[in-house]
This record gives sequence, C-alpha cells and structure tokens, in this order.
Amino acid sequence: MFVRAPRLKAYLALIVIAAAAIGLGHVGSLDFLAEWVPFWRSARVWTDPALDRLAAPEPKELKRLSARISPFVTVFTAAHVAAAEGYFCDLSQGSAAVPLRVTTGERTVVCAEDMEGLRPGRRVLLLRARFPLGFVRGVELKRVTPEVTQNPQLLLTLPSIAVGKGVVFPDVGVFADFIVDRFFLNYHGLCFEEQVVDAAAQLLCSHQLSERARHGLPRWNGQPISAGRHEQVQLTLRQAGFECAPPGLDPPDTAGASDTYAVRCALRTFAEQALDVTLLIDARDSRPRALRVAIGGEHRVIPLSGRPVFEHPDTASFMVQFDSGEVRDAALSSSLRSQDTSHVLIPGYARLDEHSRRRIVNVLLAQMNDVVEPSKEHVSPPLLQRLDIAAYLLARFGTDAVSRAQHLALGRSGVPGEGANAGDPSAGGAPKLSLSAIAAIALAGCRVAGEGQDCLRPAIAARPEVRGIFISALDELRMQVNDFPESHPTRERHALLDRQIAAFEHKGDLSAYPHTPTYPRSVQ
Amino acid sequence: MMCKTRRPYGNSEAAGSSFPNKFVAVLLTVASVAAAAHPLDDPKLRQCLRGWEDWGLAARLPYFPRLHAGNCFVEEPDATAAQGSFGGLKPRRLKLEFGFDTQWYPGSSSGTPGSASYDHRYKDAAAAAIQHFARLLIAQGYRPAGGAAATEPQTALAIGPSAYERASSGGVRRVEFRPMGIDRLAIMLEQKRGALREDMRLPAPDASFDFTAPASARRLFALPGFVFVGDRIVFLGHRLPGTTIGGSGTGAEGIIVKVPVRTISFQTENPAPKGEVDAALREALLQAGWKSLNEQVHYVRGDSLYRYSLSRGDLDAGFFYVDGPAAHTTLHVEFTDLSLAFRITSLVNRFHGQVQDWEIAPEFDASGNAAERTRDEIFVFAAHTSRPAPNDASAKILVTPIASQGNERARHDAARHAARWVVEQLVQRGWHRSRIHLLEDVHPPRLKEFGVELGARVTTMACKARPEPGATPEKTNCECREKGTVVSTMPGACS
Repeated sequence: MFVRAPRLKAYLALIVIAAAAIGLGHVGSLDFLAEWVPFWRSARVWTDPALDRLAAPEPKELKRLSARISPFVTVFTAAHVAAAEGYFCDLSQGSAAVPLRVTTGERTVVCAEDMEGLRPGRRVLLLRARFPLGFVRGVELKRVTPEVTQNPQLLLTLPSIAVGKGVVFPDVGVFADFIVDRFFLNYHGLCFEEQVVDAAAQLLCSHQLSERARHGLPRWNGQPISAGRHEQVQLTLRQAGFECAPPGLDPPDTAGASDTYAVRCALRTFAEQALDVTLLIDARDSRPRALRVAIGGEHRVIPLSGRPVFEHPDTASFMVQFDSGEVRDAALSSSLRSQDTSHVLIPGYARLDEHSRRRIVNVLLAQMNDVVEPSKEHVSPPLLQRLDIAAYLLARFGTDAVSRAQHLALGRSGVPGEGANAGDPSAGGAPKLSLSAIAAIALAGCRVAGEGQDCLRPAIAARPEVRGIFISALDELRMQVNDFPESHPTRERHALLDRQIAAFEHKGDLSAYPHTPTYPRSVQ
Repeated sequence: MMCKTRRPYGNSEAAGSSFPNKFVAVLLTVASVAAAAHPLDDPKLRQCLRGWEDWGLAARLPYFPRLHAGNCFVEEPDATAAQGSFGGLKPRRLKLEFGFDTQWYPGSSSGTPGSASYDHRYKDAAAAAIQHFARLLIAQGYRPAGGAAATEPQTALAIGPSAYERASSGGVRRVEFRPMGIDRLAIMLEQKRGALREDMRLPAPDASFDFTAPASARRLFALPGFVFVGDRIVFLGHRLPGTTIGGSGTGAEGIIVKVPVRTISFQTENPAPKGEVDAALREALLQAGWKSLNEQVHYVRGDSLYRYSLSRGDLDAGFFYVDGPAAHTTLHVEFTDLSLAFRITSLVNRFHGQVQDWEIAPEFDASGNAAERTRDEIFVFAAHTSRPAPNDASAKILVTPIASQGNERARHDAARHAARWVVEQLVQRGWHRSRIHLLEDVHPPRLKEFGVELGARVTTMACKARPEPGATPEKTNCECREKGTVVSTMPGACS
C-alpha cells in the first residue's frame, strides 16, 4: 500500500519521536505515518496495484480487503483501509497500563461494522497482527453473536464467514521483484510528496503507478542494487514486515571458517506462504553483499552494492563475533586521532571467537603496513615513531594478537626460511607484510614480553633483514639524542632499542646467518 | 591601542580573489586530499609547519611526543595604528599550537585524564617537545634569550630556556615556547626589526608615476639586496559587461578587456629567510603608504597583497617568492593599475579582433612630454600589436605619418614628428628597429577615422621584393601586403 504522505519530512521526525516515546527502539516503520496523517490532513490511502494483482481470490464479503491489507502493512495502516470499507478498528485494545503498541506477540484487533462497537448480527473484521510493530498476519470476517457482546473473548472461537488469503507469490522470481521493489520504494517512494519533487517527477510517479497496475511489480533487471549500510538493508526488510534474527555465520555450521555473516529474515503470508530473505554481509569490511530470497525451496541471489558501517579513510570497518554468539560492527583507526571501537574490542578481545581474532589481526597488519611507510609529504615522523606506533596498534590487543602476527610474519616455527606470510593460504587473508611492518611486529613482541633484552632475538633470527630497519631507525635519531638529557623519552627509547640490538650482536648470533647484511653502526 | 588581526595560517578555505591565490589554494587542497592517504599524516600539522619553514627553520618532527596541530595564526598589527614597538609597526607573529599523542610510547604510563600519571605523561611530553625544537633552533644559530614568559611544566625534564633568538642581517628572530595546559604547546615566531628593515626604503607612487613606463614601475619596488632581472606585461582578459565593439552592441555578454598586469622580477643569491624579507618588505610598503590586503583575502605561503590609492584609482601589488636553483630566490611583483584598466577599455575596443593597423594622434605638452592619454594609447596599441616573427624577414611594421587635409609644410612636419615618436616608443618597448619602416617621404595619406588631424598609422605588413612586370629581373618593386591583399608598393620597405 502506498500512503499519501504530505510533509513527509516533518512526519518522519514525528515518527522518530513517537517511536522513541513508546519504546519501539530503532525500528520505525513508515506505516506509522498513516495514523498521524489525519491530524494534519485528510488521509488518502492508495492501494498498490502491483500487489493487488498478486492477491489470491477471496470471498466477496471481504471486498478484497485482504489484498489491500497485506502482510507488509501494519495494523495501524490497515485500520484506515478497513475504515474506508465501513469497519472501525479499536486500536485502544489492551489494558490502559499496556497500550496496544507496546504489547508483544500476536494480538487480534477487532474492527466492528458499527462505530458503537460489537452488536449482535453485525459483521466484524478481525486483524491478526504481530506486535510491537503490528504487521498484519491474517484477515478474517465473522458475525457477532449475542454471547460475544457479553464476552468479547468468545470472538476468537466463532466460525469465520470469510478468511483472506491475501498476496501469494507465484514463484521466487516475483518474490525477488518484490524485494527489489521494497528498496526502490524506500529510496524513491517519497516522490509522492509533492513538496519535494517537481511536476516531472510527479508525472513519472503517476506513470510508474499505472505501470504497476498494468504489468505488476517492476521486474528486477538482475543488476546489483544500491543498498547503503547493512543496518539500512535490515531496516528496509523490517519496514516491509519481515522479522529478522540477529546476525550469525553463514553457513551456520562453519565454526568460524567463514567471513560472511547472515541476517535471516522471515515472514508468513496470510496463506501461510513462507517468505525468507537472508542478508549476507562481508565480515571483512561490513559491506552488505547480497540478499538471498527463497520460497519453498527455490531461491534467488540479489547482489547488493553496499557501504561499510564506518567510512573514515584511516578506519577499517569490519565485523566480529563474541563467543556468546553476539555479532557486532567494529572499527579500528590507524591514526590514533579518529574515533573507533577499540575501547570495546581491546577489553573484549579474549571473548571473541577464533575467526574474529584472526580478522582483527589481519586488519591490524594491513594498518601497520601503512603506518610504517614514510609519508609522501616532506615532513614525516621519524621511522622509530612510525614503528612504535605500528607496534602499539598491535600490542594493545595483547599476547594472543601479537603471537598471531608473529606467526604470520615470521613463520610457524620461528625458523628462518619457513616463515613469511606472502601467499600463505594458512594466513587466512593476511596482507603481505613489508619488512618495516615485520620490524614493528617484533617491537610489539618486545612490548608484550616486558621489553626484555633478548626480545628481538626471535624476529631477527627468523628475518635477519629486519635488523637493518632497526639500525636505520636508530641512526636517524642518533645525532639528536646526544643533545638530549638522559631522561628524555627519545633518548631513553633509543637506548633501549640500541641495547636490544647490541645484545643480539654480542651473542654472536649473526654468525649463524651468513647472509645477514652488515650495517654500519655509527653515523656520528 | 593596537588592534591585532588573527588569521589562520595557510587556511585554504577562504580563497581570495586573485588568480595566484586561487591557484595555490587549489594546489593545497589537492595536496591535502592526496596526503590523507597516510594514516599519520595531519594536514593541519603540515600547514603549521609550513609557517615554521617560512621563518627559515627546518621542520623536523620529534620522535616523542607525536604532534598534531591545533591552530596556527598569523598575528598582524593594524597598519593604521600610530604607535607600536618599532616605529609604529609591531612585528608580525606566527603562533603555532600543537597537541600531543603519547599513548603509543613504549614507556607511556597508563592513566585516565585528570589522574597524576596522566598529567605527568603530558607534562613530560611538553618538555620533550620543547627540547626537540630547542635543539633544532640551536643547530640553526639560535641562542637562549631572556624575557621568556613561559611557565615551565612540572616535569622530571629540565626544559631550560623557553625563548631563543638569532641575529642576522635581516634583524632578530625570536622563537618562544608556551605550554598551554597539560597537553598543548604554543610556539610563537616573531620577526624583530633589523638591518634589512633599516635599508628597505621604498618610494611612494606620486603624481609622476606612470604604470606604462617600465622604469617607473621598476623603481617603485627596488629592494636592497635584490637585483632587477625582468619586466613583462601580460594582458589578462576580463569580461566587461555593457561595453560595445566598434559601435555594435554585444548584448549582455560584454567584451573582453585586456587588463595589463606588469610583472617585475628581482633576484637575490643570498637571501634572508622568506619570512624575514616578507616582514621587512611589508614594513617598507606600509611606510610608503601601501595598505595590506592580507587581512581581507586569503593568505597563502610566500605571497602577500598590497594596495595603494592614487587620486585616479588604486594600484595593486602582489608579491610572490620562488625558490630557484643554487639558492637563487626570485621575487615577482605582480602589479596592476586598476584605473588604467578602465581607461583603456575604449582603446581595447578598437583592437578587438585581428589587429593589422592602428592610428594614433599623439599629444604632447609644451615640454614635449606625451600626454597621459597618449601614453595609454601607445602602451595598449603596442601591447596588442603582434611583433614580427624573428624568422620572417618579410614581416614589417610600417609607420606612416598621416594628416587630415591640406598640404602645409608644417602639418607634414608635425605628422612626421608623430610618426618618429611612435617608432621610438615601439623600439623602447622591444621592437627591433630594423623591422620598423618609417615611410617619411611619402605624401601623408588622409586619416581614416576619428577626426584626428595629425598622427601616424602603424600597419603590420608582409613586404617582398618582386620583379616589376615587363622589366628586367634586376628591377624590382617592394610589394607590401596587408591581410593578403597588395595595398601598395613601398620603396625601401623590403631593404
């Protein structure tokens, strides 16, 4: 159903306020609009001729109400449609303390043929709806008996005059058309608002409406559809009446070996047709990738072109799952200046599942690769600062993250020649690391190991070339630290690294690696 | 009471009206966008450090703390204020404010804001940053100075003096550190009056000033230590609404008027730092009566804009420094006479389209000096006339005396005098004398238009010697063509 919605922007604000006030959380349906419209302007309820064409045949007593009151509208909108046919719905049902809108579960809204309520012999329309959102799940027509006037609960036990079957999708292709159409309406449906579009757009809308009447739902052309962030996709589905489960791995039994999360959404039509839509999200960048729509064993995949949840240039956006099963959006900034979710990820790291930890380490390694490189600009921080910042990005996640990174950078056994990450399938999507990034991982190892004298030993032993990176970093600062007092942080840091390098050399380990290049130690 | 103006340093948002400023602003914007690729890049920090470099100081970031920029301001005095520290003019100041990141440092102690360990960490950072910059300053010849106003942070590090000065031929430069709260540091860069400023005296443009005369403009900006290296005029097209071309209206579009911009270039081999030269130049210009436009328009590194108000209109001058090879620094002064732009409109109208010839009736005073209108005319006409290509021997500029009517000897002499003056003007403006042919001996033709009684016609022609029809090959006529049409034979023009 389309609802003519003048001054929609103002109403949207009102909806948000109303939704917040009645505790409906983040799911705000445009259908609420219908109830508010009469306060501002006389409501005109439009039927969607495309859906009308999909409605199953029904007894004439229903006056095609179950075609217009579809599972995709709320009972609050349905009340307007019913009113147009002479049925007056009691939306004040429920106790005074628990208004209808904050009830949960399935409730039946009674729409009497008479404004004065239930009267024997008159017909009554029953709208079965699921709350709190109130999407209609069934339409039924009954006749009021004298007993019912005394005890309205008996209404539910009365025989039906007619039961609406409503919309029935003939095949999964039409269902895919319907889902794509929901996105189109979400983004373009507001063109019915005359204040926000020009005459040409109005004309186009009218044309589209008549096309829907003539040809049914617009056919999806098979191209990816623009979908925004994954929350927006979920919102579109919820606004269409689907109920969605929290995200989980896809497929569910992969035990962490997948980088795709699925949000499974379902809806049953009046005729008990099961509609399933699964939103697939790439956990590595939090972009929505596809919608898998299914009816009765058949399915279609609708590709999505979506956006990540966080879009700051130096921020990686991805998703993680805790051992409890909870899936959350995550973001890590490599600039130290941008907002991210590190305040949640670092203390929660131990409670993340295996694959999420691996994903975080991969993100960190990619960022470390960037951080250690010099800036293209002429003013670049010293190499040691870049290495230490990169090491900090990793080390703040603790020993587990550092050893995973070391495993990828230096090899499983720590033996030279067996490590390196490049092209290693076991690396699970880990980026190819620069030598400087490997040096930063070695420094991170020192941090979690308490900056011991020998902490660089495994790294240099495994990758002797990284020693050259450390020497360069030391040499860059050597001249200036001589001018600083002993307690200057730069001098202290320089001395610490110098000792760690010297300790390695004094033990003669280099002789075991004849290919190790020799670096001049002093540029004084 | 001095009123200071504070302008963001290197702010690329408020691009000014001049082309170079816009151009540089675009470049800066592009650079900022491109630089955002590196996670540790901080565009604001880069802009602040650019100010540091303008003062002749090498910018090198410290290892600890990691700096990020707050704000950078140029503090400038109100030029109209009468009293100040230095003969009515306070020095320019550049204030750079930095914040710190310290959490990544291996020895960084944990702590929440407000806790003792947190405060201590940042106080250490402020002291470490001051020591880093002090070291750079000392390496560049600065020495600790008295009168430091900074409050030293309570830290384990003894940070030493918080102000440094360096004397140079250009004066004294002072750098002062001022911790701001626990996590910020301000650095004040101040240029004090010095020898360069003492030497810098620029004349004020007086009534005799002539934008069109090369020497006149050059004299106006002669700087001590800088050698004049070039002078060129570029005509920038400006659309002038409501104007007409040759009497036919062009509707709302208007015509393109070519406004002359004179660029005078000076060069020095051993420059003082740009900031120092700029400060001294600024003071000299302000003392000569110019007003700084920098408060009104976007200020970009290395350039500054000034305006002088003459009774007939404003003069604008923009200064641009360009570093060249082997430590050469070139100072370009882009100079515009705004009143001239309006005066020449009608003249440029006459030159719309392809110019092949023009007529001028020069006027002189009793002393033989050309009148202002005449100077404008010859300036504009010369600037719009294509110079003969060096490799085209046939290209000639023919200058013909012209007179309205009559055949008096005196009139002919006056016309010849005007034609000779035109030739001299063209030669002064860079035309080679050999390419100009003065047709003194021909009978002055009638004037074509404008009702001018005496003057000269300047025609761009292609002249070639051709055998005379029916005569021997040795006997040739010098045939000159204008726009492809043979207009006349000009004895002597082909020699």
